[in-house]
Amino acid sequence: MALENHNTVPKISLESLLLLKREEKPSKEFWDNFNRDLRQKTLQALVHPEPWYAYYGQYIKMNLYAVISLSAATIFTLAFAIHHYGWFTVEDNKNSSIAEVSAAPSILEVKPTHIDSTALALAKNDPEKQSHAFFVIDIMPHKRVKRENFRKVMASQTFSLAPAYDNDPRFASDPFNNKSHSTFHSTPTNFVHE
Amino acid sequence: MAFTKAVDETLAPGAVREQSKIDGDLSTVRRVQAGDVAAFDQLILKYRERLYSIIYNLCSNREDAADLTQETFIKAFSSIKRFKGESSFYTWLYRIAVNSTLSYLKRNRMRHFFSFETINEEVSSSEIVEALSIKVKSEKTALMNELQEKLNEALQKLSDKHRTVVVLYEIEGLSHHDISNVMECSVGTVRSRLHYAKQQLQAYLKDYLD
Repeated sequence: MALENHNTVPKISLESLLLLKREEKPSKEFWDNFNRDLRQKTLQALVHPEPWYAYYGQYIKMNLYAVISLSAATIFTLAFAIHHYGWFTVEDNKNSSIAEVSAAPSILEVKPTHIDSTALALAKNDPEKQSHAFFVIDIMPHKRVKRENFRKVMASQTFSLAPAYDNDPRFASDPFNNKSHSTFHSTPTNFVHE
Repeated sequence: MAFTKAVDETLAPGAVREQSKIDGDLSTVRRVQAGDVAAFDQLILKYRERLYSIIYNLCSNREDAADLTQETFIKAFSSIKRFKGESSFYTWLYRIAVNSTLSYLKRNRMRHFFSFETINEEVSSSEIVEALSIKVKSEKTALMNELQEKLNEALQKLSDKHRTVVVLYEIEGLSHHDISNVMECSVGTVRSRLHYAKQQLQAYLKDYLD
């Protein structure tokens, strides 16, 4: 400590004391060296310009806490959404089953187990409704042991049975009592007996 | 808010002169942006001392201050094409300087060495130097060194943000509005930081103050 007795120091205001810092100036030699070094560095910067990503790197460095917070919030939101809703789930499409069967007929084996007699009568008596026969089918996914109880009443021109039954002699007597588990493949126009 | 801004503008001496200086900077910056590299030397000559002073008072180390001042000019030169002229050039330059210095201080928090410039008492016009002129020369030098040491100690006890506000307002003489632009915060935040920082300094330096 240079001075023990503070009474010898004249009392002054804080603002005046802070102005003392303005008097701390470097010498002329310092500025000569400064200019020389700066010129060299500026030329280096001209020869080797900063890559385009350096600016963003600097920004991230300056706002590190904001970037970390934002990233954490995004990750949390994504994790929460995936946990609750799964990956890109679409649930609303009521005709999705029909659309799937129509689009990929070779994947499914369709076995008729029971056909609504009313629908059949309608189909037989009314030629216009032959193309809209109602029937009940089980859909068994290909190469799967476990049978899915998945019944649907189809009312689509895509699955019209009428032309196939009319032309096939094996169904001439009573095709709907046939329990021989004949396998049909659905096609866009009719079922083809295998 | 409007009142405080009006007070700031009224208190700021030579506002018109400042505006013409800003316009002059802008034309020089446009020349640099157009490819006139030599024009950047004018900006260096104009701002190097003020920039060095800000950085030096923030980091309290003359060697680091020199390096950081050069780094600031190189950064400004490298990214001058991104300067759109929405704020004044010196505000933009001071912002680069303050951000670079605060990042540097954060990185080197653990190893910190101080080295100070000496005050030239012969040419100094400070109120304190005048007050001390009644003392004999040896005693005056000792008193000056002690005051300088205590003041630097007190400034280093402040947080980086509080120290920045004190340096920019009390030492460099920037307005609250300019400081808020440099530090990218509101004028109210600047005022509150300044008030707190001055209270702290008053407490640290109570033996030397009125």
